[in-house]
Amino acid sequence: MTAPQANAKTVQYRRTHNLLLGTRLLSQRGAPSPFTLILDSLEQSSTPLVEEYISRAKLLRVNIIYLSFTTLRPPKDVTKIIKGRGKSLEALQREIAAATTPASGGQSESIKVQNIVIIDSLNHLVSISSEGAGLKMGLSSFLVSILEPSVTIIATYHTDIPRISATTHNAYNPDPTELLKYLCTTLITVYSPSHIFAQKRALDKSLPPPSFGLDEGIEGSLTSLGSNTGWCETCGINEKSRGLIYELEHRRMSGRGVSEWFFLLCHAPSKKSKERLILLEDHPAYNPTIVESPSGNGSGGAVEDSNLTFSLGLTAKQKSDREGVVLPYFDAQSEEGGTGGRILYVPGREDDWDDEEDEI
Amino acid sequence: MSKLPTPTEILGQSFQFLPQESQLLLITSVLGTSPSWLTYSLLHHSLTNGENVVFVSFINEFAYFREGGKRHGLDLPSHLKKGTLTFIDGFSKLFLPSVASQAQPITSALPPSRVGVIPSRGPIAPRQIPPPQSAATSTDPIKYISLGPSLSPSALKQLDVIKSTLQRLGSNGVRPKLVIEGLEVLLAAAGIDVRVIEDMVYDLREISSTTTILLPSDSVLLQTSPSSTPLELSHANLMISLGHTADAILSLRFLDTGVAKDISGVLKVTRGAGNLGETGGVVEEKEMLYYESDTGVRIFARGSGGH
Repeated sequence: MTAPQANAKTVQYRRTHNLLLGTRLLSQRGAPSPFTLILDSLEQSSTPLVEEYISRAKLLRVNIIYLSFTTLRPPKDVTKIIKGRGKSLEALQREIAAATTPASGGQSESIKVQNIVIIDSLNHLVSISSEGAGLKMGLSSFLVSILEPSVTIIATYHTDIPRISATTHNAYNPDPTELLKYLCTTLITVYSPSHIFAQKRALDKSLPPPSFGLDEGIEGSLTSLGSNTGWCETCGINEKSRGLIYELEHRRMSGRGVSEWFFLLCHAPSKKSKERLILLEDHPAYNPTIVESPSGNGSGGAVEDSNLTFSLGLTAKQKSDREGVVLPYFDAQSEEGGTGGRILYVPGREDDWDDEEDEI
Repeated sequence: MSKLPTPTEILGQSFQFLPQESQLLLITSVLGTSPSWLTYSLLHHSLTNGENVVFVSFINEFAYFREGGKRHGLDLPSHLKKGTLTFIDGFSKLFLPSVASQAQPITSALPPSRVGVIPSRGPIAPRQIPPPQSAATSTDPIKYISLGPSLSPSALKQLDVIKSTLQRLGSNGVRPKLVIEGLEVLLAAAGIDVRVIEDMVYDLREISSTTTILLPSDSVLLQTSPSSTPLELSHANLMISLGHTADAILSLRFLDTGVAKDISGVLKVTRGAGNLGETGGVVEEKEMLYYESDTGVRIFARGSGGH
């Protein structure tokens, strides 16, 4: 899971190609990925990312169906909410099929309608599907049955919930988690920005990276500070928690895979663009070397950005004044002072001059 | 009367309880750091604001909370009498035959195969039964859950008393608050499947406003491996599943550096995924020390001393 070291050689290429792919996947324009699997944990929930998917899908007027197992307060821009608790896979499949197929009215326009099915907890689907061997439908056939050309699935799987294997478990069946990772066309793992930055800072100093959450190994501690908090210096607590870091692995139709680390910011980085998605390496907190280039004036930029309560820089007038200052004893280096190392001193009026003791 | 930190001090200035939203607070503790004071703090806040609270406990009886509440200036019996507090006791009679089945002839209530087990319970039952029957006639405000000595599918129906109480209190449109303590007993001692418990919690959350769930989080119950026992897996499963939907996770633990005279433990508040939506106040994450004494409970920042 360790995040990559900043790579200056390839970053320009990836900035153009992978960032474009990242935004295209996020807005699901043209359905580039039929099945997106998001892996999350207690340290960073997938909620901000799913909400970003929903808000972008809303702009494209996509039909959003939310299959809720654990969410009692679903996001507000959702077209239809299906409660999944206590239902069999067959019943769920029928409900989703009814929601995704166009309604009876206005056939010509509704054919084009894209659907996004969001599943808030695949863990529940997994446990339903593994409950009994007598079930007609398995997990993979359920997912495949939903996936029509007009449907894309965005599903979250909580990686840290231990799975209780059923007594009828077939030892030769693959683990459901592995099966899901194999089936998906885009695999996203979300991380908390403050945790990733803390690990990066430790690695930069060749220290062992700290662990968080359950791995932290503190008795009685379930989550760590910095979970679900995002990262921003200017936003409030609520706004900044919309930001998160994620690792994306996309499998193209050709079989070629693309993997990249992204940072979904809580607000657009500049006023020019509205895009909140950047490469992780383009974030100054992750990659301190990029601070200098945008600010322009070399080392001064780094000083100005540091957290000081006073200014270390010079204005133009201060600079020219400094150059105009004639240092004392400057003439000593050029004229007679260069010969014997004598001290040049012109006695002032207040000096109590004694010819015998004082000589120049 | 002693002082308790308010929920605002614990969860942050901008956090607010939303009466129409199903919020979830998950309170975790280890052996030795009792989370009772957090419960009293929440109860105090809700009851003084005139909200209805349903309090379910599977590990303590009402007398325990009555005494504890009194120490913190919380008169629970009067709230019980007023009807703002409903206490559901899942501890005293959890494994005794339910009242309904006692009304029936004994032969049908006790399966013949269990005869060998029942006599040992015999002496207890007569002693415990008289109070509820007399109390039931005098409208005992405390409700009891009894699953019976052996778990049967019909026994799970006994848990519906929580749901029906919430529904009755919420019939006027104002959802009551819910506090559940000791769900791990159902998992470990009553042998109820973790999925059943989870579904029950979600069902209950749907009809209540803020749900507070208290669970133990000792490492042995959380740090699981594939070779862990089903009980360990179930407990961790329940805990982490709830953590994924919680608004805030409040965890109590001992001081990492050892024992200190004027520090009882560490309170850590972290934001859960449930708090990331558009609605609702924001939980401020923090790690504070707390000290529990006769004069109440004080929370303070690390390094700011106990005074």
